Amino acid sequence: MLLTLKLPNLLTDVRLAKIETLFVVEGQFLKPGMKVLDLRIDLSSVAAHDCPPVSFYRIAFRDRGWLRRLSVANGDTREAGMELALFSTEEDEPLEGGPGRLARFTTAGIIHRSDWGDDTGQ
Amino acid sequence: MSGIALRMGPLAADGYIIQRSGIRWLKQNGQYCRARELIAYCNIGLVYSGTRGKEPPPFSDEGREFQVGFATKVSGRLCHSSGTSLGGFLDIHEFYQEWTPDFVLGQIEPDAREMIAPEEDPKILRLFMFAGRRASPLAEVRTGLMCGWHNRSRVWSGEGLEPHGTLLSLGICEQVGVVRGEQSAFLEFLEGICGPAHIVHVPDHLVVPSACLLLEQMKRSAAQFEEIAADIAHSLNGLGTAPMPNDWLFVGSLLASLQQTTLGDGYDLLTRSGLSRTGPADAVLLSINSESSVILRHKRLGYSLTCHDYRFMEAEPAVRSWLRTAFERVKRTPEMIRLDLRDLVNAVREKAETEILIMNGMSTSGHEDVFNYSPFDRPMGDVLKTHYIKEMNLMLQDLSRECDLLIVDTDAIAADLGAEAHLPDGMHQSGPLQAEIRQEIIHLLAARGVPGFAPATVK
Repeated sequence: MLLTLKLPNLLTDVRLAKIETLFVVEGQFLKPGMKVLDLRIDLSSVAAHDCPPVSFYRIAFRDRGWLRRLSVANGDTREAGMELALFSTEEDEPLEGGPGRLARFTTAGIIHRSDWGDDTGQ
Repeated sequence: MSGIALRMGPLAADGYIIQRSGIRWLKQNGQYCRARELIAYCNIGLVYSGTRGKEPPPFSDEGREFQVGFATKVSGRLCHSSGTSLGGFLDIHEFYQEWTPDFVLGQIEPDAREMIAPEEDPKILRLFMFAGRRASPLAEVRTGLMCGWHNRSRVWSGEGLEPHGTLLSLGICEQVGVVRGEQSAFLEFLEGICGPAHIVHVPDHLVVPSACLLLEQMKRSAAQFEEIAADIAHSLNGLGTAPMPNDWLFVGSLLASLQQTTLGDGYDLLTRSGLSRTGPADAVLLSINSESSVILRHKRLGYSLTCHDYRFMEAEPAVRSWLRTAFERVKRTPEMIRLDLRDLVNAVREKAETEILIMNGMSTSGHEDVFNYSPFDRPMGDVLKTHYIKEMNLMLQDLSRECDLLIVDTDAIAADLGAEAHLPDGMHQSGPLQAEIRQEIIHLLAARGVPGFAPATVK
C-alpha cells in the first residue's frame, strides 16, 4: 500500500511552510516515532516584520513504510496539501496504480535555535 | 451648540513657566466622546521663570517628548473651539503659548443619560501626562502622541490629588500591546483604571529584560560599564571588517541598554499639585517569555547578553563576528532561571517593597497532535516548545509560592478565549486577548492595593 505524506495546514491563515531540516533519505524504512522533517512557518513571510512570528514544527511518522519518493529538499517551500513524501508498505511495490491512503503522522511545535553564530545568514 | 465649556484648568510648577503647543485633536468636531476618553493633546515644556539653578531641570532627559492629553469627565458630543489647533510646527513645538487655566478647548453637550458625580467639575478637563526618553537625541519623531523611538515611555494621571502608584513594565513584544495598547499611547490601560496611576514601559531595544541581565544592570558599577564600552570599541576596531552604520547603531543601543538602571529609576511627575518625584516602581511586570533557555555571556568580562535571535540575524557582519568570537552560549535550565528570578526579586525588594507580576507562557497549541512522546529526544524540554513552557510555568508556580509573586495567567486566558484565533504563534496576541490580559493585570494590582490601579467602574 502507498502512503502519501502531505503538508498539513498548521495555521489557519498561512498555507506556506519552509522545509527546515530533513531527517530521512529515500530508501529508508521508517517506523512509528521516527522524525521525518522540521518545518518553519513565518506569519510575516509576505513582508519584513519586527519580532517575526516564526514557528517551528516537527513531523514524526506514525506508520511503517519504505520512503520511496522524497518530494522536498532542505529550504524548499511548500503549500498545505502538497506531497512531501511517498511511502510504501512493501519495499519494491510499484509507485503507480496501487491502493493508497494518507500517511499517519504527529505534529509538534519545537524549539529552534538559529545558526546566526556560524555567520551563514538566513 | 450649548454645552459645558471645557477648560484646561490649573497646571503649575514652582520656578517654571509651562509652555505648550497648539492642540492636536484626537476626536473630530461633532464626534461623540466617552468619559475618560482622550479627546486631544499638546506638547508642553518647562521654562525657567527666574534664575537657572545648578541642578538639572526636571524631565531633563524627556523634555523633548513631554505631552499632556485631555479627557472629558462626562460623555457627550464634542465641539472644538476655533483657533485651538494652529497647524504645522505650532502644534508640535511648545515655545509659542503659555499654559492658561481658563483656555477653553471646546464644549461638550453632556449625555443626558449619564449621572455626573457631585465631586467632579465637568468644566475642567482631566489631564494625562506623557513622557518619553529618546533612545538617541537623533530619534526626533514628534508627529503624534507618544510616537518615536523611546527607550522608556510613561504616562500618569495629571490630577495629582493623591500619591501615584507606579507600574513598571519591562518587556518584550507580548507586553507592548497589553501595556501600551492599540495606539501605543497607554490609552486602553488608562481607560481601565480610575486612580492616580503611573505606568512605565521599557521596551526590548536592544536587550531582552531577562532576570540575569536585569540583576547585572542593578549591580554594575560605572567602572565596569566603562570597561565594557572600552572593550566593545577595541573589539570592533580590531575585527578587520570596517563597521557599518548599523553596527554602530547596534552597539550604541547595546551600551545604552547595559547602562540603564531601570529597576532603580526615579521619575519626575508634573500634576495639578505641581512638581514631584516618585519611584522606584511599586510594581514590576515581567514575562517568562523573556527568559530564554540560551543566553550569551562575554568570555572575558562575564556579562550576560539576552537578545532576540532575529536581531542577531539582522546584524551586519562586523557585529556578528564580534558576537561570535567574544561571547559563548550558555544554556539555562528552568531551575537556573528560577534562581535568577529569585535573586532579582530579592534584590529589588531589598531596595523597596515591590509587587512582582510575571506573565506565564502559552503551554498548549492547537496545532499539535502528539499521541505519543517517544518520537522526541530527551530532555523533552529541549525539543518541544509546549513541554518547555509547561516546565517554565510550573517553575513559576514554585517561585510564586517561594517569593509571593503574582502570576498573570496568560496561559489560561488565551486558552479560554481561543488561542488559534487570538494567539496564533503563541506569542503575538490579538486585541481582545491583550484587553483580557490588561484587565487581569489591573485586577491583580488592585487586589494588592497598589495605589491608583482601582478598576474603572462601567457606568
